[in-house]
Amino acid sequence: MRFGSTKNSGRRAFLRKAGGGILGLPLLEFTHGLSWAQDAVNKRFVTVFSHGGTLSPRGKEYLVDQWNDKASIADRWHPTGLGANFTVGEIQKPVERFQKKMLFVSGVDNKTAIADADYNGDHNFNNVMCLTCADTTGSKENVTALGPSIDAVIAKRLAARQPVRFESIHLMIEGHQYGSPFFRASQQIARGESSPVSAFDRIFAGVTADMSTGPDPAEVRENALRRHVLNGTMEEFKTLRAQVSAHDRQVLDAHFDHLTALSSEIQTLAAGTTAQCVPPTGVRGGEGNVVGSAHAKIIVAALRCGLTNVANLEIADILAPWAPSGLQVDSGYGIGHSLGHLQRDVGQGTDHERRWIIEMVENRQWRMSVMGEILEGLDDPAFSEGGRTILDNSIVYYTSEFGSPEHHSSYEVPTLVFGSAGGKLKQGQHITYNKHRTAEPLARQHESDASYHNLYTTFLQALGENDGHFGNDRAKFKGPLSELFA
Amino acid sequence: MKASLSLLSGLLGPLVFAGCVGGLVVNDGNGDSPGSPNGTTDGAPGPEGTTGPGGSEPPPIEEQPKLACDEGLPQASPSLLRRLAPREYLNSVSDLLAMDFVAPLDDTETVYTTELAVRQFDEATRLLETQVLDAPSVAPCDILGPTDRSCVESFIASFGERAFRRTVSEEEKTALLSAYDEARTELDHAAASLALLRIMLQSPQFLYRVEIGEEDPSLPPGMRKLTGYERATRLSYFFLGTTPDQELLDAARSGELDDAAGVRAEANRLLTSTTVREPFREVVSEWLQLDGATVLPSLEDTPKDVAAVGQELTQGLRSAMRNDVLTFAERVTFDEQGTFEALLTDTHAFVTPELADLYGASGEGWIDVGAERPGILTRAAWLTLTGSQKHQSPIRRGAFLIREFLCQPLSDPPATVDNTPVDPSTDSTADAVTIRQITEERTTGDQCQGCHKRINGLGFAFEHFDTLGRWHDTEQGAPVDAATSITGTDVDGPVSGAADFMNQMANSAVAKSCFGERFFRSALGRTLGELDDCSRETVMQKFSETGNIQELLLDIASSDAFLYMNGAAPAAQEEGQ
Repeated sequence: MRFGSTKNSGRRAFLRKAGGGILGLPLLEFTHGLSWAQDAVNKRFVTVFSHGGTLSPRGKEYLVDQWNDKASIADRWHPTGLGANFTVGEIQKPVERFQKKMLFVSGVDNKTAIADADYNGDHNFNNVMCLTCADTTGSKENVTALGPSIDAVIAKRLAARQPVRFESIHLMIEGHQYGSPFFRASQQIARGESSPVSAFDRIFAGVTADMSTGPDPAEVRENALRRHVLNGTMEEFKTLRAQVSAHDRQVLDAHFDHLTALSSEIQTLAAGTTAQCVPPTGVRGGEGNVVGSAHAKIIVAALRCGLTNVANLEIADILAPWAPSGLQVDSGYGIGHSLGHLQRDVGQGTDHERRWIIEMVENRQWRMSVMGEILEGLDDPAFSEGGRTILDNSIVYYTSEFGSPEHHSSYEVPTLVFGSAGGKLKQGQHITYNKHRTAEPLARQHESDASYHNLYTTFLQALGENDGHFGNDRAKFKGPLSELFA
Repeated sequence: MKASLSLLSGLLGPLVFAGCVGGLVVNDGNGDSPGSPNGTTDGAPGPEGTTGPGGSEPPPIEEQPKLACDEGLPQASPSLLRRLAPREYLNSVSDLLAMDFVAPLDDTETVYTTELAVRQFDEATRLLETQVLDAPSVAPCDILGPTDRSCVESFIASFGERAFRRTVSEEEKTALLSAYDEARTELDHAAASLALLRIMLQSPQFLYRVEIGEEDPSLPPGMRKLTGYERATRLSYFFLGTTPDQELLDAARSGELDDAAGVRAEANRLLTSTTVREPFREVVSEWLQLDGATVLPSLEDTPKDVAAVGQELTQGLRSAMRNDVLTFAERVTFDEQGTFEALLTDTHAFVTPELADLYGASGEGWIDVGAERPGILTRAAWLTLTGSQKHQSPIRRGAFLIREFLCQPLSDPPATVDNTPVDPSTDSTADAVTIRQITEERTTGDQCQGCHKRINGLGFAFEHFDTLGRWHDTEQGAPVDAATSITGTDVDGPVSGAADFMNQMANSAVAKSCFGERFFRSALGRTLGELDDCSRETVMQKFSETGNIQELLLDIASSDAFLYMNGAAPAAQEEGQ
């Protein structure tokens, strides 16, 4: 898949003053404004969060035993084989072509949820814990994390050394879900933009592939106006801040922080500069499949253009009637949530099970295919940096709040990584942390010391940070999963 | 009946739901640190970008000890800073600018405003052109005419009062004028004036319902009296869902809202506005979960199996269902008897021909749907929402009634239960062919009955209504049985079906209190706390006696919890500045 015809200008963003003259900046100045890392290659981080778990029987062992007579043993998630000699699971078929750049990690647990969530796994708790590894406050649908999610931490770190217009971008395919896994900071939920058109307008404002004409005077005026509006608004916040309680002041401060970020973005635009890059074409709204592809285009282009270092694609627990076989079973509530729950109820060898598996697999394959569009765009050799594709220099991470959804399992959560962060992570490998599976690949027993905590510490270190730990103290062993390093 | 509501709420829940509340599955011990759930973090609170917790909980607002109600001193639980809800924001901008203003807004319900919402507030004001300043209600002078600094000052004072819902202080006027002057260094007069408008519409004074209150030495510690402007704001958003109109602002300015009688008088005026019906419909819609809930899709999205139900649930029919139930509640409350009893027993429906047909009747507009279909819960909207794709679901209906109609706690089902919809085509046995029989068979056993004795008991009352709310007498050739028993309420006893159930519930103080508290929460924008008890009991006691819904709204608006605030002393004072 290629976006636009002038692909080679994609990541080469120029700055141009209002008069139309191109500034004498190096070709990559806009994206690579500073020399930041020892290997001097841009790092990016993409999270594809798929709500509702996957199709895996490996849940809490005691539950599997309890339901052994009824639980489906369908496993369409895990690959067969370990190390470099593995065959991807059925759900990963849409991204099988990227197997050589895939790091399949199995046996990672959400130790925070195991310790603290209702039933060792609850939609609301698991959502707020799975990217934050944080303690929580509140209960049920009001629960929030007392720490930032990994994407927010990485976004802040990368932005400090790779200046960008947007610290991160966050898009979502709407549907049913229990809460958000994304937290900008303690208790500060981050919500994704569901409208591709709104996202496009926001992210690609002032971005053009055509530098032959000067910027639109109306846009220049509007940007100046916005700058004054934001400055005036921020003064209003400062004034009120001194008049409210300490609690309310924190609420205002969080709002003010967002305004500060917005103001920073507008500084570029309001200064009369325009970025040359290739915005995606054909972005439009529609059903989830249309939105998914549009979001993928936007993410690829935004990363190529250096508009951001970090992108989140959040896929709600949405049904996928556009899948080849359409909707196959009555999932009760008509939402993806119950589709996952059905696993234990369909009965082995029944027609109901057969149709359920078709729907569930195709649903998850569709989600995987959306990620595939992102991978394809980032792996285009035309956009290589330092001899590697953008994908090679990045981490693209796919996960969910659950492993086996019907068990609300916090064990063996889906963990799929693409890219190597510039050669830091292994690629083309299946590495398991389930102690039983190293000896017996099909073992249903589960025992692991690896947690999201360790995985995210690994990500941070691969991206050049020195953190020895991420999140709260629920991980049995702190530090990274060193087996994942190249 | 004159039941003590505090007694009811204090006793019924624990007694009835022992074993039906709280987790049913214990920690299996695999967690590394099973103790201290949601406990401390190991990292020091740090700024964003650190890998530690990245912050801590906002400091808790300490609640003062509760005083006895007969001491007569105003008490209220603490309120947090409240942001305008999307609908309130759009209504307010529309009213301030005398236009129909529409913009996409994030509806995430969270204390902290999301980054997406902040962007959307900015983008929303970008939709405004300088022409909006031309309306006389927006600017009191010709602000788009030649540069006139006095006109700008006048605009700040007049529009500022309307947007901030209070008088603009001299300091604020100066700051806003400075912002205008700063903008004028780059922009022409009209654009700088527009910038001023956009600043005021993004100001925290507009986006948040700031309540500072004022000292009153006669009040208990921590309590402050809301200013007239703050009371006007509470009144306006509670009754009209929008910013205060000029009469309310005038009343606030003149001191008419300084006592409860003045507030009630204004509330009475607002009740006569047609606008009052929209927020009322929204509360009813939330109550019935027409827009979906944790596990239910919205009425517009709820799926039905066309082959199984025998007809397509068109968007037109869905819309008619929604309009029927909301218009019914509106008519009962504002045009007819105005009582909770009527809400549960009135047999009129507002129908399209298609919906009339579903009700087994004919006609269009208001029709009488008969004695078998009294009140709001026998209408197609709720019955459809709580049905599965093929059949009615007594479990969902019963669970809804416990949680939303009686406001009683009910645990989620444990993760181990079979929660697939009951389907006679696959689940029938020799002894169980109807939905009810299969449901009873599936939920037999002590572990299930801990909850399902009540859930099923309430839900079975509606067995004559299928998954679209159509009446049916037989299932699989067997007669439908809707006779059941109400338990766990103040009107326990056998009922013959839905009509009997509704008539019994019409007299339930528990149900009335649950209904009334929904409006109380809407008025305060928070759950009710211990210090609201005196206000709650006073209001609900009267409502349980009269059942008058309009009086309920007025009583809420003139309660201490509505007129006073707690715990939000200005930060400067807290710090001794």
